[in-house]
Amino acid sequence: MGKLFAWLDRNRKETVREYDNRINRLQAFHAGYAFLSLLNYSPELSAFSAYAVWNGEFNEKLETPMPQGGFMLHCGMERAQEMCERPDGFPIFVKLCAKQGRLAVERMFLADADRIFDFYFNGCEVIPPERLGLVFAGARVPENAHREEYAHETGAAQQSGGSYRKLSAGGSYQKQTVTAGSYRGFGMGSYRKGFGSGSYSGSSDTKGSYPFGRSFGGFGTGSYRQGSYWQGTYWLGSYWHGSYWRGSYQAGAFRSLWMSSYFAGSYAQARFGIGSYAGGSFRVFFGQQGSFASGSFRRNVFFAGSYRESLFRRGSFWKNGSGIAFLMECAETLIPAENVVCDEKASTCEDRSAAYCHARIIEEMGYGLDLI
Amino acid sequence: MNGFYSLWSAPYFLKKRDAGFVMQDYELITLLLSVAAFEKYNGKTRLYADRKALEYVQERDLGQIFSRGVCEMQVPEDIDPAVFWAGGKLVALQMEELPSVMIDTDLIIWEDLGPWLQDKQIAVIHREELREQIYPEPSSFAMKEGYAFPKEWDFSVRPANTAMLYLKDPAFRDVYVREALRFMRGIQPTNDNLCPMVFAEQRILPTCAQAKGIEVSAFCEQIEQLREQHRFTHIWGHKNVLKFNMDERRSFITRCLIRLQKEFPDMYGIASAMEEFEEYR
Repeated sequence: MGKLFAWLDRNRKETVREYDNRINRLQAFHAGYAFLSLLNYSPELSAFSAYAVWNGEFNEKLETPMPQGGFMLHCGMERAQEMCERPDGFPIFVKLCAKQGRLAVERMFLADADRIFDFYFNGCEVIPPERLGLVFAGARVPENAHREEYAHETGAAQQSGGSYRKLSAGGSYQKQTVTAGSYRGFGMGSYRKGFGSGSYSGSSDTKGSYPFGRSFGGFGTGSYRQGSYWQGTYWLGSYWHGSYWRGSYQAGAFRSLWMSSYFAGSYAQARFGIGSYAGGSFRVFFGQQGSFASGSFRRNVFFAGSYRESLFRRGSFWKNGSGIAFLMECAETLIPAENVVCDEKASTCEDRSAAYCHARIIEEMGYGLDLI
Repeated sequence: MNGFYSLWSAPYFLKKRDAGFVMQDYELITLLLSVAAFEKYNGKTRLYADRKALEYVQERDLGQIFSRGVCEMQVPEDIDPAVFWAGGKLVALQMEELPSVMIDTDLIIWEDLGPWLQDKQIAVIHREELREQIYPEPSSFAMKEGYAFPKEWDFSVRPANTAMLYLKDPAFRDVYVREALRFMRGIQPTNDNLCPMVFAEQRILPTCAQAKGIEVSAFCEQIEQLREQHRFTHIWGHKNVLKFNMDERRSFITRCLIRLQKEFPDMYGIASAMEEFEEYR
């Protein structure tokens, strides 16, 4: 971890001003992917609400990490349909800036061959594209990735039609995990069962560096070892990334979540300091959300009452010759409560397709801004 | 009419443990504009800040913008900053001489409130609806043994948004702050950083007031009325956009600087000397 974007760090001999200058002169570079769906397109506004997946290492270096939701780009209907036919996402290029040594994204573009689209944050809502799970499962493998690893991920993808419950059936995680107390034990078992063959090569590293991970969510990281939290259930999480939640989520509330049949992505709550909520993150991976959409989490006052928020983190690590390469991280996404079941059936989606473009509630937009 | 602001750094450091306390440029310019506007239209201001926030204020020489100066406050250690992230406001309120107006750092008041406040005991910016997601039944809070809500509290009273809060009576202030802090200490550890916070700050206030027979006045009874008014600017959730959209942020800061330059030249001089706004000179 930290190898690919280490050059974004400030050198020891570099002053703040020198660092700012260096960063401000950087050209735009590839830092993530945007996933588009007509569910998130408004023909009236010719606008897409996009779902962004950032390189986690890059994102972590920002003063304020970028979210998944809230981004928009504009294009006509015809182009929109073309873009949605491409399931593997559009590369997001970012132009960085630095002020007083703090790193931020100055400008963003979506780029593909000869096409470039401005991409910007306006806080709009986004429904995670249904096929995202498939995409992540197969499309983002480094060229030198281990083929066997790739096969596993594909296997995971092919399970996308099933429910999470089904995938995780068997409960063999818990015994292995708990009794053995070793992550490796955990990684076997029903992982194989649910997602096809293959060994997940877990590391026992609990230092928060990313011991391993699966593209569809990564079976845990160091802290499952903290133990009993995960007892009696599987751990689907996205977490390979210890530093986000290390040491901070050890609240009792997790237990109940994990003890349920669903994974809720709640560990991410720790980092953001939010309450307990079961989010719909699985639909991202498996194309359906089933009964995950429950809970009453509000991120903060501003979103209360109007959003449900699905928080999860996921990492994609792929083994290659030089070790484990980190690929992506999902930070968070905002899903309007009324759309929680929206993408389960296509027939119910159409009338909500532009729901993200709703009139903003006052808590979101503030008031009296025109008085300045 | 005096006013005061507060900065409590503990919630900030929950997210950024290794860095010093820093205000983002859009937060800073909003504060400058807010202070300038309040001092022009209403009265003198003071800032209450905890030790780390105070270091930042002193380092940036921000104390000069508050005509009543800066005071250090100490938020009790048993107040969980992750849950009660606005707890510093109540500690500051306890320290403030009344009558006074408590102002959020992202709120700008563009008019003299004196005529409206002169016959008021308590005034807030607007009332809120009792939505279950935000204001659940108090019985749903898991409280520590020994804590009980006062029997005289009526939980059907609508909450009051305290982005701006005017209080006149120190005796009532003492009751409100005491009850709010008692609740903060009395709740079981939780990950919910919304409901307990708004209960302590925005529901206990009108509930206590009703129990004491004091009326809580509001500029707006309905939040939607704030779309059509000329007294207040509240950045509120728009901060989210300012956080991630650099174009919008620059546009916002430029507008604030222009307003400062036109109407508050002294404050503009202070702002333009800050390195945060170097690129706007």
